[in-house]
Amino acid sequence: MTAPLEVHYRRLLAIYPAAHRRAYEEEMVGVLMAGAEPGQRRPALGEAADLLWGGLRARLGRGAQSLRTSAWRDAAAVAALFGAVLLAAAAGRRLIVGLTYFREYDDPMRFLGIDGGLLIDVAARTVAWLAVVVAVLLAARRTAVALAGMAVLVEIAAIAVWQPSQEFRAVRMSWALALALLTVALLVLSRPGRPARATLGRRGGTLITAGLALAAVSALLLPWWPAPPQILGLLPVTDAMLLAAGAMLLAGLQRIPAGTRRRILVLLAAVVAVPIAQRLLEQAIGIPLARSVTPGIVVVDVLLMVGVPLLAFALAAAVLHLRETVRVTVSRVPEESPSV
Amino acid sequence: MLPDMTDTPLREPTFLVLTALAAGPQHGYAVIEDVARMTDGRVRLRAGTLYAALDRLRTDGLIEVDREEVVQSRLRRYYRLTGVGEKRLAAESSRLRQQATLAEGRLRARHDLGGAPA
Repeated sequence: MTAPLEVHYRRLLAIYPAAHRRAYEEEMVGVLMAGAEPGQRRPALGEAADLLWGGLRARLGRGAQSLRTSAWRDAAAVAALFGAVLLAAAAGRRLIVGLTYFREYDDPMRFLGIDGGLLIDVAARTVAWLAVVVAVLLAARRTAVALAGMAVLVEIAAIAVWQPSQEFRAVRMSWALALALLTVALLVLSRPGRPARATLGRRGGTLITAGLALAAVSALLLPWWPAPPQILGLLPVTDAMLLAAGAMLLAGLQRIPAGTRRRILVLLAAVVAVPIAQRLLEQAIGIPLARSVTPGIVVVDVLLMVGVPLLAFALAAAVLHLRETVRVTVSRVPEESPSV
Repeated sequence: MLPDMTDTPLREPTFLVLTALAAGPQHGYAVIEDVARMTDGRVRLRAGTLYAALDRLRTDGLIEVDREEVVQSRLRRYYRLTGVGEKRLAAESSRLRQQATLAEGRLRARHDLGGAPA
């Protein structure tokens, strides 16, 4: 036999998400019934409003507030680290290619008396993002945010100095700016969470560092190795190295607790979407054919750079949501029968 | 495990729940009664507010389940403060103490100078 008051309370509790009910419903009914007046038949108005509010917050708030839960914050630190590594690697690769070129063919600017002038911007970008990477690894969160803010300014300056001579500079470098801003946002979000290194753990961190190093080495080898040896005549060594690097990254991620790992992947979807957006952008406007930057191109640029990462994030978050709620729905079935 | 959450102040219900559990493991209804007692009846936590706080504190690792009991066919879950929770509560109470000291100092100075408005 169930008291009418308990039936009322259980109806109100139905507003909570299934996962919350599974964890707390019986307990909450106990608390609510313990607090009831003798002979009380209906929930007090204030109590009911509090339950409705609590249930709504647990349900709807999950979308907006869930970004501030610790799993998301921990994940943001790792995703920000990837973003900063990607930016440092992209600039660093150009720096190395440039320096190699100088060594073989001499600095084309030397006769103008500006030694290395062509590489100042890539060098500055490399150093700026490497500093962010170091700060993130040292868990110096405020410093990391400040340095990333400075790195954004460096990216803007790197675009601005070339803009007069290369009209499409800003369009071509949109990804760097977009990724830089995304990295800053992730760093700000991650500030109250755990540092990236703590989230990755020692072995996970080692695997991921090794994977990134291997990826960097193979990416640098590619341009100078026109005919890399084939493994069993099937797979070029450089591809094999990239695959091994990918496997190490995945193995490293695998060591992170599932909730945080999934969120890292969702955030990385947005990070990885930025270079893809750049490719889409360049295809859409056909830079080799376009004569000048029109307002239309600027609009397409901004739309793609904001829209594609956002879309990637939304899709990945939807997959995450489905995955995490489906598990809950399955276990909800036996809970419903004994209650009323 | 969660070293750095000390820069966001705790909300009052959360602070009071942690304070209640600092005395030892308690179940939900006991926490409500304890908080009411501690605050001379000023704060009477409602179930929705209490469980929002308990759920968040558990997720953040500040409290954990101590044991479960069934009393008169009702589930009672006892919660206890974790080491992290203890540190967090200590940090929060010293923050509050600092603020209170600051405010008291200013108020005293104001009276000493006769700066209170007529």
